[in-house]
Amino acid sequence: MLAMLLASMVLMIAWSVYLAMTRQYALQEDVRQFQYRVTNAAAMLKNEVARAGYLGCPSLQDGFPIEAPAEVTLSAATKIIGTENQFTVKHAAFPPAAVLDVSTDHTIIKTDLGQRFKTGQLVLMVDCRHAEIKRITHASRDDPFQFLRFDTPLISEFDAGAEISPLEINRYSVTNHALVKQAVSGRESILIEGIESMTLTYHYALGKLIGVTFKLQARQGKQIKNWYTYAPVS
Amino acid sequence: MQLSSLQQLQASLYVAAASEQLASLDNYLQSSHGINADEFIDAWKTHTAEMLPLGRGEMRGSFPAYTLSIFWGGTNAGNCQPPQTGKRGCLSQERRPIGYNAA
Repeated sequence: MLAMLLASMVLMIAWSVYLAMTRQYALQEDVRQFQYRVTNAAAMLKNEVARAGYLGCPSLQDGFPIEAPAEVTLSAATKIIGTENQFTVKHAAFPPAAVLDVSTDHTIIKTDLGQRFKTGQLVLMVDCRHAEIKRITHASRDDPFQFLRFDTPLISEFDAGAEISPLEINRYSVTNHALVKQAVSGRESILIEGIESMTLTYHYALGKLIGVTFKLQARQGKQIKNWYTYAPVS
Repeated sequence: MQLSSLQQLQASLYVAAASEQLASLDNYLQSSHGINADEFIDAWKTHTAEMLPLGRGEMRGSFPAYTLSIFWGGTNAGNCQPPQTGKRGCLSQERRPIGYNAA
C-alpha cells in the first residue's frame, strides 16, 4: 500500500515537472518566434525603404531627367508612396546588365547576362546623365548576349557602358497575418508570417520625405505586441 | 536551467528592442538634421515604454552632439556606463562630431 502511494507521488511529481518544462519550452518558443518575426520584418522594410529610388550611377534628385511611358512615374517625390497600412517602392534591380550596343533605329539593345530579362518586363536604362524606362516587347538570348526589343525607339541616347536593370515596383502590406510583397507583375510573396498588422507614419523635413516609422504588431503567445522601427529614406 | 534559458531569451529580446530604438532615433536625427525632432522624440519615448518593461528613453544634448540612452527593467542609472544587457539593463549611444564645439 505504502509502495503504491510512494509510486503515485513520484509519478505525480514527474508529471508536474514534465508540464512545467513543456510550459517553459512553449514560452521560450513564443519569445523566439516574436523576435524572429519582428526583427526580420523590420530589417526587410528598412532595406527596401533605403533602396527607394536607387537607379545605379546617378542618384534620384529632383529634376533628374527620366523618360518614361505614361503608365509609370519615377521621381524623387514618387520613389516611395503609400498609405497608413501599405507602401510602394520603386527602384532599379541590382546588379544591372551592361548595355553593349544600341541599334541604329534605337529599338533594339544588346546586353550582357548581368540580368536575365523577360518579354513584357519594365526596364530602366541609365547612365550618369539621364534614364529611360521602357517595356520590353521581345527578349531573346544568344549566349553570352541578350537582345531586347522595344516597340518604340529609345528617346535618350545611351552609349555602350550604360546600365540596364528590371524596374522593381514592389508593394508591401500585411495580409492574412503575413508581411507580403506584391511585385509589379502581380506576383505575391510572403516575406514573414505571424505579422498581424503594419502601420506607417511618414516623416518630412523641409517638404521632403526623410523616413518612415513602422509599427509592427506580432503575436507573442496569446499577446499581441508592438515593435517600432524607423527607416530613413536615402 | 529552463528558466534561465527563458530569461536569457527575454534579455536578448530586450537588447534587440533597445538597439532598435537607439538606431531609430539616431537615424531620424541624422536624416532630419534635428528638424521637427521634438515630436519624433515624444513618440519615440512612448514606443520605448511599449517595447520594454519599464522602458524609458532619454536624449541628452541636441543635434549634432547628443547621447541617447534606453533603460529597462527598472534601471535608471544616469550615464549607462557600462551597458547592461540582462532583464534589467541599459544601452546608450553617443554622437560627438569631430571638431564640433558646443560652445
